[in-house]
Amino acid sequence: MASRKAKVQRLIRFFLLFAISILVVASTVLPAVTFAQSELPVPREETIFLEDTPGPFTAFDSFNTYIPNGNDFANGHIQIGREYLFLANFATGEVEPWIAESFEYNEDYTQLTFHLNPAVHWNDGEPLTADDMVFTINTVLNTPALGGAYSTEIREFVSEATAPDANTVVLSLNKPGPRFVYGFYGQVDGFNIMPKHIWEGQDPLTFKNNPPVTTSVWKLRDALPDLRMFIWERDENYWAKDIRFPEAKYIVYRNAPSSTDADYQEFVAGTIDHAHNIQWLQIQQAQAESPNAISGAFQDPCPRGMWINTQRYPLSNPEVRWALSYLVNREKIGTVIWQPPTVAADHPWSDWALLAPFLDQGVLDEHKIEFNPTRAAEILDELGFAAGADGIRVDDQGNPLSWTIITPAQVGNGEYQIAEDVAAEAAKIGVQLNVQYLAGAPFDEAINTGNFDLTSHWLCGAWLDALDLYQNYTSDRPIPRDGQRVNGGNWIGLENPALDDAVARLKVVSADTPEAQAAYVDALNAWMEAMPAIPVVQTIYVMPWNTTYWEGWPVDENMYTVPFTWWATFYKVPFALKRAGS
Amino acid sequence: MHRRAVLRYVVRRLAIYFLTIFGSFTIAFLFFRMIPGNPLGALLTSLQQRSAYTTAASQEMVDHYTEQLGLSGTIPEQYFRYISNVLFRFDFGPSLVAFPTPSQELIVRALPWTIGLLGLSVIISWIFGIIIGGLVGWMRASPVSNALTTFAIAFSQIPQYIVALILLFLFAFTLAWLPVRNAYPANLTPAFTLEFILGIIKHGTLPALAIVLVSVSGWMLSTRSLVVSILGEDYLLYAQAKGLPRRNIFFHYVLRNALLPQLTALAISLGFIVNGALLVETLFNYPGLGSLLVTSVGILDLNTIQGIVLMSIVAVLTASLLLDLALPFVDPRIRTGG
Repeated sequence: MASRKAKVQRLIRFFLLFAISILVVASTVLPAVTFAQSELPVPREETIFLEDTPGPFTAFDSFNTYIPNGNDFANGHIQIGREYLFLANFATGEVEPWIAESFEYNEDYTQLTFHLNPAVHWNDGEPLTADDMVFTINTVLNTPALGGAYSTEIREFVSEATAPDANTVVLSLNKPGPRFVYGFYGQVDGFNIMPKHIWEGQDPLTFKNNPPVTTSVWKLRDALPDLRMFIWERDENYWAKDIRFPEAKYIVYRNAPSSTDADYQEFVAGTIDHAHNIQWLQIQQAQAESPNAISGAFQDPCPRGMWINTQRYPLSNPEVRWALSYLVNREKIGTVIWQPPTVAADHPWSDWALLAPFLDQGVLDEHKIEFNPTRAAEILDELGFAAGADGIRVDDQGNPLSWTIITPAQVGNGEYQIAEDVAAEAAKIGVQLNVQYLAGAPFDEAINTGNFDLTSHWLCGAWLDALDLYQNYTSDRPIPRDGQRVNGGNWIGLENPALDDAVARLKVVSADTPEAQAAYVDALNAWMEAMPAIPVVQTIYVMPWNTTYWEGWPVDENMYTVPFTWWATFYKVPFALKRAGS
Repeated sequence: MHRRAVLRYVVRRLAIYFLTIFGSFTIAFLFFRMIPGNPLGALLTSLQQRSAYTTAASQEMVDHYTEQLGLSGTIPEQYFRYISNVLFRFDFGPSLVAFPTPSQELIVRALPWTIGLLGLSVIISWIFGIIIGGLVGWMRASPVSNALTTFAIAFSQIPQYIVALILLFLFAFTLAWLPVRNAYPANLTPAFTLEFILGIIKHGTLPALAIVLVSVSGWMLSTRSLVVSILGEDYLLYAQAKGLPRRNIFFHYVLRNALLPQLTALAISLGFIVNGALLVETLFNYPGLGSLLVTSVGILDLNTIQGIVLMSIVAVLTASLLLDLALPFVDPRIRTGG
C-alpha cells in the first residue's frame, strides 16, 4: 500500500518537473516573436489590414447610415466604402472634387447648384445621375425621423431639389445658406447620395442597405460577425480606374485587441498595418524595435478644454470664467499630462491652416490666454470673493466657490488629469474644484439638462469655419432650463448679444467677403471676452503604420491627407500605398 | 400517496419557478430604467459629433426612435408592453447597438459561442476539479497533496484575464502553437466539417484553458473540503474494516458522497454561463454574450441588456429547478414529504 502510494507521488512529481522543463526550454530557445501569422480570409500581401476601436462591432448586416447604429461607424463603409461629392482635405487645406466637379451659389445664397461628374457610376454598373441626388434629398425631406450626416440641416435649409439635366442638381434654399455646401464635403462623414434604383420603394428607417451599392473603388466582400471583421475588395470596374487605382486588392477593418500589449505585438510583427489601441510610448518603442514601424501625427479638430455652465452664478460672470482660465497651466499639461506632448491652445479650435483666416491676432493679444494664478486671485479679490474660515472663497451671495468638473474620461485619462491639475491650482487660491467621472449617457444627460458646473472634455465645433462653433451658442438656440433636456442646443446657456449679432451677420454672407471678415473678428472678440469654454491644449493623434507590406502612408514629412483611419478623408490613403520594396 | 406527494412537489416547484422568474425580471427591469441617462440622447449626440455637425436632432427623430425602442410612455406602460411582446411574440425589441436588428437576433448569434466556450470549460474544470480535489483530500497528509492545495489556493485568486494574457503571450506570441484571436480560422467558412470543428477547438483552446485553470482550482478546493469532512464518517471505517479495496472506497463511498453538493454547484454554474466571460472574450475577440452585454451597457441598449438578463435569470432558475426535480431520484435519502 505504502509503496504504491509512494510510486504515484513520484510519478506526479516527475511529470510536473518534466512539463516545467519543457516550457522553460521552449520559451528560451524559440525566437521571441514567432507567433502564427494572422489568419485572413484573403491573401495578406494583397491586403491593407487596418483596425479600429476595440469596442466590438455589432452591426454586420446593415449599412444604413441614416438610422442610429444602422451601420457600425468604423467598419470601413463611411471611410473607404463610399465616396462624397467633395473631399475636405484638412491636411492640405483643399476641397477636392470627387463625385461632383463643381458647385455654385446664386447671388443671395438661396440656390445651390451642383455639377456632377458624368463619368461616375455605381459599383453595380448603373450610372450615377442627378436623379439619385434629388431622390436622396427628397427622401430626407419627406422623412423627418431620418438621421445621418446633414439630414437635419437639409430639412432646415432645402425647400426643393430639381435636376434640370442628368448631371446637374439645383437645391432651392428657404433662407440664405452661404455655408450650407459644407455638409456636402466628405470629412469624418458627409452627405452621401443614395442609389435611387436600390433605395426606391424601401423604408429608409429600416432598410439595411446590404450589401451597400456605392461608387467607391471598394466593394463589400464579407462581413464576418464571428471574426468581427469587414472585408472590402477592389472593384475592377471602378469608374475612375484610369485616374487612380489602388495596388491593394483588399482592405480589412477589424476591431483592435482590447489588450494594448497584444496589439503592440501584432503591430511590431507586421501582422497588421495599423494598430489602433497602442499608446504614444508604445509607438515610440515599436519604432525603436522595428525599422518598419513609422508614424504620422495630426491635430484633431477638437482641442481639449473646459466648458462652463454660464447660467450658474457666479460662473455666469465672465470675469470668474477668466479667473479659471488663468489657473490652467497649459505648458505643463501639454508636456507632462497629455501624450504625445502637444502645444497650448489659445483659441477654441485646432491649428489647421484652413481655420487660420478666422483668427485675429489683435483679439488674441487683447484676450491673452496664459497661466497666471496671481491674476486669477486678483480677479476674485476684486469681485469681493474673500476666503472663509475654511479657506474657501465665498461669493457675494454667501455661496462657496466650490464646483464640480465632470468629465467623460476615466480616472487617469488625459481629460481627467487636466481637470485634476486645474483643481490643484484652484485650491491654492481658495477655489474648490471636485473632479467627477461620468460615463457616456449620464454625462450626456448632465450637460443637456444644464445639470453641471464645468466639464473637462473636447472643445468641438469649428471644422471648416469658425461659424460652425459660434452658431451653436447663440441665444436663440434652446437652453436647458429647470432641468429640461435639450438635444444638442445651447447647453452651456450662453446669452451674449455681441456674439448673437456677429453670427446673424455671418450667416448671410460668404466667408471670403469683407463683411464676413469683420464679423469674424467681432465674433472672436465676443467669444474670447465671454470665455464660455476654456481652451487648454491641442489634441494630437499619432497614427502608427507598419511598412512590411505597404509603403506610402501619411507621415509627418508627407501628410497628404488626414491620417485618421476612421475618417472619410482616409479614402485617399489606399490609392497612395504601394507594395513595400516596389 | 407517494405519487400525489411527488406531483404536489413538482407543481409547487414549478409555481415558485415561474414566480421567481417574473419577480426577478421585474426587479431587473425597474433597476435598468432607473439608471441615469437618456440612451437615445447620448447616441444622437455621438452620431452628431461623428458627422461633425452639432445641429440638434429633430424632435421627430427623437420621438420616432423613442417609440421604436419601447421607451415611450410611463415605466409601467413600458413594462407591460415589453412583457407581452416577450411572452407572446418572443420579441425583445430592436437593439440599439445594431438598430434595427432585433435584440434576440444578436443574443442568439452570440449565445452558441458563450455556451460552447463556457459550458465546456465549466464541465471540464468541474471534472478535473472533482477528481484532483478528491485525490488531494483522500491523500491529504502527503506533501504532494499539500503542494497542490497551496497551488490551488493561489491560482484560484488569480483573475482569469491575467492567466489569459500569460497564456496568450506564451502559446500564441512566443511559441506560436495556438492562434491569437477569433473563434475559428478566418480562412474557413462555417460548416459542419472536420476541418472547421478542429479549427474551433484550436481557437477555443487558449480561452478555455484560461477559464479552466482558474476554475479547476476552485472546484478542487471545494471538493477537497467535502472529502476531508467525509473521511471521518463511520461508514468509511466500516468499509475499510470489511477489507474493501481503497479504490472502491474512494470512488463508491467518498467521491460519490462528495459529488452531490458539487452537482448542485455545477448546475448553478452552468446557469450563470449565459452572462459570458467578458474579459476573456474581449481579449480573444470571442463573439460571446459577455462583450455584447458590456457594449449594450455602455450605450444603455436596454432591450439587449434586458434580453440577456432575462435569459440569465431563466437559465439559472431552470438549472436550479431541474436539479430540484432530479435530486430526489439521484439521492434516495431526499424525501419530498407527504
